[in-house]
Amino acid sequence: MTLAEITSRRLEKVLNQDKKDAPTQILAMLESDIRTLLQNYFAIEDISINLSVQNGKYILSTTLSATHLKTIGIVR
Amino acid sequence: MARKIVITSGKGGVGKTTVTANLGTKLANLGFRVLLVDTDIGLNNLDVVMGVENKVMFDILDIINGKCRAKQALVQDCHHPSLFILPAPNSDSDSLITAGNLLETLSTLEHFFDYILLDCPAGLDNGFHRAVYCANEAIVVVTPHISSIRDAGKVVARLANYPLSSVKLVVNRVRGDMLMTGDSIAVERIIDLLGTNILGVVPDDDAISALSAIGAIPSGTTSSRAFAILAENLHTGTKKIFDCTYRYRGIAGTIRRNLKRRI
Repeated sequence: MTLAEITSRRLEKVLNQDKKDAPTQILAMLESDIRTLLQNYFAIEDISINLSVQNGKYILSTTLSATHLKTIGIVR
Repeated sequence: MARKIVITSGKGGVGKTTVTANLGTKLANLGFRVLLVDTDIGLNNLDVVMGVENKVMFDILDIINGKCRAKQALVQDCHHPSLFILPAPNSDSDSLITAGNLLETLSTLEHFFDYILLDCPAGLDNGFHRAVYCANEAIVVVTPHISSIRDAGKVVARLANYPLSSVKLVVNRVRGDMLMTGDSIAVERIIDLLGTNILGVVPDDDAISALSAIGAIPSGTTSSRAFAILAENLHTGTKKIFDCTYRYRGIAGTIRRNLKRRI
């Protein structure tokens, strides 16, 4: 294995760990923005947003119930 | 209206000021009106790298304090009439210059320039915020070293909190000989790991450190050609990448590579 390959593997692990350790307020801010965005499209009754970092990837799971669509943009 | 581009990195010593100075010079060579802003308050070096430290009369703090008009603080480059430098104060006056102050100062100048390049301080604290807040694009300078790439990853994540239209990487100090032998991480892998588009690559070049000692910007060297490509990519949107390995190919290249290794 070359030095470049060793560096690359170490970096991959370190960068993934850094993403996991990202300040929780950033994830909270993103959740808040997503909530606001969805409110533009749906008349939301109930919503659950869960944003996390797993294996270096952002995983977003959202469940919402809405009574109707809102009339903005192309959604009419 | 000027394109306002912050040149940042997170880690110190990777070449932010060098990239700012050389990229600005190449853009001026292309005929653009360019302003280089030193936002590294107290640890300012852009004036020295550009060789204009003896021409500095006023700085950003003097503009904010009303001691001079914004245009009076600008220092014209000795070799390029369309290239100007806005120096940072020498004293530790970090807390006296807010992001809002700096943005207001730049708003009075941006109509006179095509490009405003902001040389950002190292770190992710107040100085970083002040520089990024005033920009609408960002260039992240990274070297092919593990600590630099890690810090660049943190910077790229932090930049996502700002309304920037583009964030691009410049991979600086690339050693062609080490790429050929597999001793240095490949540029493509750095792009892949950081998940960011690339603006260009600059080879490791002794001329940069040698000439910076006398306040001169290299011309006709390998790094100078790489910076010219960088400027072209920035302005036209082309995606040309300087080949740092060309000197180390073939028989002559193998000899050069082996000689460099022994030294």
